[in-house]
Formats: sequence, C-alpha cells, structure tokens
Amino acid sequence: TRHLKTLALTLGNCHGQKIYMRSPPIPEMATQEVQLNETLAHLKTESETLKSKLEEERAKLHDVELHQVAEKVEGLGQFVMKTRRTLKGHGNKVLCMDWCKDKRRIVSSSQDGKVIVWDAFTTNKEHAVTMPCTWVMACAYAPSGCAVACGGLDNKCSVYPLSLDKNENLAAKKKSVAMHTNYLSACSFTNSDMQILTSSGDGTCALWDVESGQLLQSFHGHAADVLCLDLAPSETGNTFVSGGCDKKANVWDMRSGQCIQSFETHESDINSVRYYPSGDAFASGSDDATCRLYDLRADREVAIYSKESIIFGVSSVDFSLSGRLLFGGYNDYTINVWDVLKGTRVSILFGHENRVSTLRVSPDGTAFCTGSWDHTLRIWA
Amino acid sequence: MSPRGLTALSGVSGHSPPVWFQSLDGLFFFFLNKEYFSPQTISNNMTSNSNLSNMRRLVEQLKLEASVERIKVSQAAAELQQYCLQNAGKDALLVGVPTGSNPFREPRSCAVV
Repeated sequence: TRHLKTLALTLGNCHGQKIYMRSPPIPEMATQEVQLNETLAHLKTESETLKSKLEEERAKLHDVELHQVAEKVEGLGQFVMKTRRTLKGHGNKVLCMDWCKDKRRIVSSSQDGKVIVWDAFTTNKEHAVTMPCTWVMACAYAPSGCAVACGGLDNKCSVYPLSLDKNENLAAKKKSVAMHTNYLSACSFTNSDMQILTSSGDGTCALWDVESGQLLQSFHGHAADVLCLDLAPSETGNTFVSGGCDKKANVWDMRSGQCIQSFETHESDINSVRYYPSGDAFASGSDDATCRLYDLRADREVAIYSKESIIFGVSSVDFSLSGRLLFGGYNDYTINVWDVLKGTRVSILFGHENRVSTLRVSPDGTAFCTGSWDHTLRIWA
Repeated sequence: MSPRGLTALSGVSGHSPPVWFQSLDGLFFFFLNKEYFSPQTISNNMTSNSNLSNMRRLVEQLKLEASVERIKVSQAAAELQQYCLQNAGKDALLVGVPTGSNPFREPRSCAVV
C-alpha cells in the first residue's frame, strides 16, 4: 500500500457521504524516497558485514609474526654510517629528492621554488630551475636521465628536459603535463620517460602521457589528500601503492584504475610508502610515529617499527637493496634504521638540523640521500 | 494544519516529500502541496541518490577486496626473509663493500673547472 500510484483525495463530507476524487498518477518521488532510505540502510548494513568478514578472513591467516619467523636469523652488527657529502645551495626547506639511474645525479626541490640537479660525487650543481610557485613538493628524475618532473602548489606536474648546455634556460622548454585541482604531493615516471604518475591534495592519483599531457587513467578511492605513491618494481607488474591523510594505503591496478587492496592500520596521515625490493610487500611511514610493513600476498600488516621514545612523525621511508634495512626520516631531525625482519632498531643517525623531509636509497644501494628543512641534502654511506 | 481523524505515518517536515496519512476508515492519503516539487525536495532526493551510488560503490569495492586470494603470514614471512638473505651479499649498506669500490666512501675528488 505504500506504493500506491494513484490515490483518493477526500473532498469532504457531503450529506454524510464521503466524496473521493482520483488524483492523476503520482510521480514516483514519494515512493522513491522511502525506497531510497530502505536501500541506503540495507547497503550500510551490507558494508559493515563485508568489513568484518574482511577482517575475519585476514585474521584466519595470521598464524605467526614476522619477527618470530626471523628469530633464527643472525642479528645485525654495528653500523658505521655517516654523512659523506653535504649538498648546500637551496635557500629554503628541501621538500623532495630523487636519484638518477646513473647512481650519481640527484634532483631536489625546495620551498623556495628552486629545483636543482646535483652531481652527488662532486657536490657540484649541474642545473637549476626556478619554478613559478613556491613549495615544490614533488620532483622526479626521468629513467633516461634526460629530464626531471616537478610540481607543488601550482597543482601541476611539469617536465623539464635537461640540456647538455649548462647555460641554456631550462624554463623555456618546460612542458606542463598534469593538472590537478589541488597541490601535487608526489610524482614518478613509470618505466619510461613517456608516462608520469601523480598524487594530489585533491584526493586522487592520475597517470598522464607526457607528450600530449593527456590523462590516461585516474584513481579514485582516497577520502582525503593523497600524500605519496610508489610504483611496484617492474618485474611485479602494473601496480602502485599510495598513502593519504585518510590513514589508508591503497594498492592500484594501473590499467583498470581499480583499487585492488586497501590497508587501514595507521593512526594518522601516511607520509611515505615504498615497495619492498621483491614487490611482495611495502612499507609506510606516518605521522603516528610508526613505520609499518604490509605483505600483499597475506593481505595484512605484518610488522610495526616503533619505540616508545619515538614520538615524532615519519616523513619518508626506503629499503636497502636486500630489503633487510628500512631507513626512516623523522620530524625529530633523526634517521632511524630498522631491521625489517626482527623489528628492532639497529641505528640512529644524527646530522640534520631540522626535520628530515625526504629520503631515498641510491639505485645500486651504495648510499642513501636525505633532504631536510635545514636547507641541505646529505649523502650517507 | 492536521485534518481531524487522520494519523501521520511518517515524519512531517515542510521540505520532505509528502507525508502519508491513514484515515479512520483505512484509506491512505497525502496532501499535494507546492513544497512537493520544490528545488529543495528535488535536491534532497538527488543527494540521497548520490549517497546511494557512493554506498553501492563502497559495497562493490569491499566485495572485490574480500575476494582477494591470501596466503598465511608464516609463508609470506618466510619468503620475505628468503629474499633478504639471498640478496644480503649485494647490499652495500648492510655488509659494506671492499674498500675503494664505494665512491661515496672515498674522499671526494676536486673538480677542475
């Protein structure tokens, strides 16, 4: 009876008889509202059920902890890692850096709007570009070594071909590739110079064709700003992981745009995500002062790297070549080095005079570079 | 103004779609008033529709995530460990490299300009 499409309107009594008039057929909105509310409630219940089922299934396979499996592995000795080079030249906070595949060049970007390419062996600056915006939060080296990409508060990702002629004005050849509706938080070339993957404060990630600037695929699913991304090692196929202010780390299929796995165990923003070298897992660093390891085949978190004495957020994480060490750059100016298997801290490195904002291990694993709010970059080995 | 002898069957608000009433003799009525077709009513319905499509998408996403094939943590952990141990020898930051082969550990050469 709730779905009556026509109904009788009473016009009143006339000599004790009720008079009715058939109304014209009523549009479905009245019935729709009722149906909508029922369906919405039904879907809410279904989603709650699915969420608990997901947790249940994951818990069933949680038969042991990673550090228990690793008990028999030999412990790591003392580490002698120190600053081997200091790169000075930025006028303000260093926000991001990336290594070139040649294992010696580095690109870095800063709050002062400058993007600098360095030779890390000699500490010489090879190129410098001034961006039209401040807060260049993201930069990346192209696989060929012939270009760099960067962006930030301008909401764009631009590509600059690197000229062999040091006097040439790089800004003249700039190519605008990505357009977001909020700040660019991270960018990365895919396997070639042809495509760029970006993440943004607008809550989305996107894949772009560099030549045409065309959007090839967009990735929706985060409920807040996306702060970081990392591409799976090429052998493992077309996926990438992203982390955001919604405390979630999402794994995406690059071709379909689908989110294939999602992890929500951090208690605050995820500032950095990095794949384990085999591609079977990834690490994350968060404002909740912990780093965590998620295994993709077990579909769950398998380790937490934390200490009561560490209370400042992690800005950036990366693995050593074998995946045994996890380096974390922290907001308390230090770098903590973790034994990935045993879950213990093996070293703490001092040197920077302000927050460590970015950290990357070199392509051949011989060193790692950190960038800081103290305006410098340091190479550690 | 509530007509006598009629019972409201759902909440009354000036902006929601019509309220159903049931008379004492069992007939169902609603009152056509101009608010029924107001932009507010229409947009309420559209918001509900977009909430609905968001919920549908969420449910589909959860179904997809639930269907992922998983392995036991013991097996996953063993494989992570195996990868570490197999590649440990090549990991310069872990084991160090013979003196002279890590360019960063050497004092830097001066570039002649």
